[in-house]
Amino acid sequence: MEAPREPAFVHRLRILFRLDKRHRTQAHAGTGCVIDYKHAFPETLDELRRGQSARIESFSELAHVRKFLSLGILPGTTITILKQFPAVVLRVGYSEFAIDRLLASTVRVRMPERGIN
Amino acid sequence: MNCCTTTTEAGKLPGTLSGVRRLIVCGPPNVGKSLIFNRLTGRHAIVSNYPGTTVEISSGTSDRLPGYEVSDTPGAYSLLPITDEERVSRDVLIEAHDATILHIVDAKNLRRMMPMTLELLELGLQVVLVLNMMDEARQYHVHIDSNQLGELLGIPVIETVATRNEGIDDLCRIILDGIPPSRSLSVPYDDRVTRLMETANPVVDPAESPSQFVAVGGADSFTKEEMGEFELSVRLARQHYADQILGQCATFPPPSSGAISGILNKITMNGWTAVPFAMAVLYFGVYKFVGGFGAGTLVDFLENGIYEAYITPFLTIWTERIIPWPVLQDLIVHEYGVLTLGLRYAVALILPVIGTFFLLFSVMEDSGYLPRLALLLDKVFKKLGLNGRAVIPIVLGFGCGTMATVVTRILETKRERIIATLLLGFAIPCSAQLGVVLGMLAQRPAAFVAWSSILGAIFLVLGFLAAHNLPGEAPAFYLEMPPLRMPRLGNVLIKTYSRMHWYFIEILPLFLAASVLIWLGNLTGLFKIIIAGISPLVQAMGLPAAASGALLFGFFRRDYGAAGLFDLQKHQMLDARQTFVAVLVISLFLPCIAQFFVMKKERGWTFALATSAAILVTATVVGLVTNAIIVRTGLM
Repeated sequence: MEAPREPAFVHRLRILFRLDKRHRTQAHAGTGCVIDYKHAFPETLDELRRGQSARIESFSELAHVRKFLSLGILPGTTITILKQFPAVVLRVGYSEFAIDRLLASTVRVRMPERGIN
Repeated sequence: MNCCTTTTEAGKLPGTLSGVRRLIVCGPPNVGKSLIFNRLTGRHAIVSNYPGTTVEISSGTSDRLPGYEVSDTPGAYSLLPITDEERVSRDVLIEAHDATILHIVDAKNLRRMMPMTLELLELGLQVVLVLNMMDEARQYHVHIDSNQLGELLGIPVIETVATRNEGIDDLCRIILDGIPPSRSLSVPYDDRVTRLMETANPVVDPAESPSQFVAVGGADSFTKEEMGEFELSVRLARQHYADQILGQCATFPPPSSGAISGILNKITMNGWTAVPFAMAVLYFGVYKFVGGFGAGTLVDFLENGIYEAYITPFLTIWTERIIPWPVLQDLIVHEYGVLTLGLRYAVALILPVIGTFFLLFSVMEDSGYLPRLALLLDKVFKKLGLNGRAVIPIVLGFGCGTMATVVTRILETKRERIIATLLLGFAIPCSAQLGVVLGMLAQRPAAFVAWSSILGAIFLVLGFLAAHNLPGEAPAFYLEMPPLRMPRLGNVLIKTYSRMHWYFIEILPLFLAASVLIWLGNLTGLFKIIIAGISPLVQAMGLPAAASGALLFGFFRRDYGAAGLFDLQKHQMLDARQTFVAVLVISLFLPCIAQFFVMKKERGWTFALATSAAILVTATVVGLVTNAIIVRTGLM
């Protein structure tokens, strides 16, 4: 099931004001087809929400891998998102890094094993 | 202190005398390499709270380590370089077989940084691991048994807090006692690594480690994807190896949440408050402090209160007494004298402005504000073909364009370095110019706003055009956000001092040389001919013929010309419109001779000459058009 397309700015506003939370609840109640899968089931760094932690799985662009390695971001590393705009700011170990959203979208992540709350 | 510092071209160390042992300081960016270098040599290499401060290799000798020559290298995460500054480090390290390597790491981030230690050991280099910033590691309750770590790795491991000078004596003692050769270690790599090494270089020795493979340039033929795959596989293996060792001798408790905290941090990182904050920094820092205090109060005091009141009359009287020939008198004093013009401009007009700017810049970098500014401006810079990281050279360009052109090396792609160099040449007025401009437009805020808008527009249009016409991949932004810290007064002062020192060494001779050239030009009548040649153009911009001189001198140094215009205005020879046009033209004018030579060094002759020609044309056209618009509309 594909989430219906919405204009980019609506999507951004949704993330900005974290409106997707409501939709997720709706989906849980079995009412919604407006569920924002991207944010209910984040797959890449830029889809995580502020405060969420995840494990790095893999990189989809080999050409960008070295940038992440230089920041100590490699498969298996646990990261925590501190900000999503204007760029992704995350904590790795005891340091914090900013990564632009395009670059962040090339990093696949895995959420800790937990049901969708 | 007995020491000397030399800065050399990329990749070349100063020739070593026989019997002198080499000590090379290396490590990732922003871990305190330069500070340790300073502690060892007693020198003042510039230390900052952001990566990329060291773009060249500095070397020095020291009393603490007799018989050693110490070199500081730019930050590098591994021997496979991403940026030019890292390439500089790689080239030094792979030829360092007779040297001792001090691998400096941030102790709390040892896990992330130890793979490079392994890489150095694989090369068979003699390594000392320095766990710096131990104070911060203790704050996070990180525990490292450095003795055991040293035994496991077979190298000396020293704990230091360079900011407080802790552990530096131990480090010196270990070095002087003589370091046993490091034992080679073998990290197990998987098949992918071997396979990639074979595809790149069919005659590779199977026993060769990835580090040796990289050192002999085997990886240079890799595509970006192969490079990515290679480094990922190698890094995972080294990380695994490092984790096994660290598991036996170190504990890293998970960081407490909310490390990003503090009001100021929130303000500078939240979009709604960060923009007003940046504006406030610009207004109070640049406009009020550099413009008002530096270019106004201080210049007034030094120029009118001291130089013109006491020094110039004194110099003139004595020169006229000692030297009977008017021609030689003119060389030293009078209107274009080396002492009354060259030295006066440098000391009384430029020094206060550049000094206040460097002070501001040092506070901005030490507090950790620059990376936050980079985060804020990344989106805008992307439109110009740059990424947020470029704020470092661009902001520095408002201080000294020459220094900033060198610092473009921290940018990753050649395309970004070219765009940044262009923008610095065209549309970023250096602090010397800025000071004069602020002084001239101080009474007219509207003119100042118009001036900055025009420069800003040129900056944006040029960047936009460059971004759309230069081939190459789109820029990517990734940068460490160091914690916001209260700048340390001592460090800020040392940094300001060493930048001013650099500026003076570089710039003062140019000022004096320009004075001599102008004297020669006047003496031979050559300048009269050139001034007569360009004055129709100058008059077409609605400027008095006298401004031709200032514009011509601006060719030698932009600020020199700007200072000349300042003089004209002080003598009421320019009205509001003329001041505005003149200021605009001089701000857009050719980079100074020093910036031209750095452009040539970094980007080549063709680039430097073509850029200079383009700048000359742009400045003239903008001058003509602006004057025409003001005359037509009757503004001002």
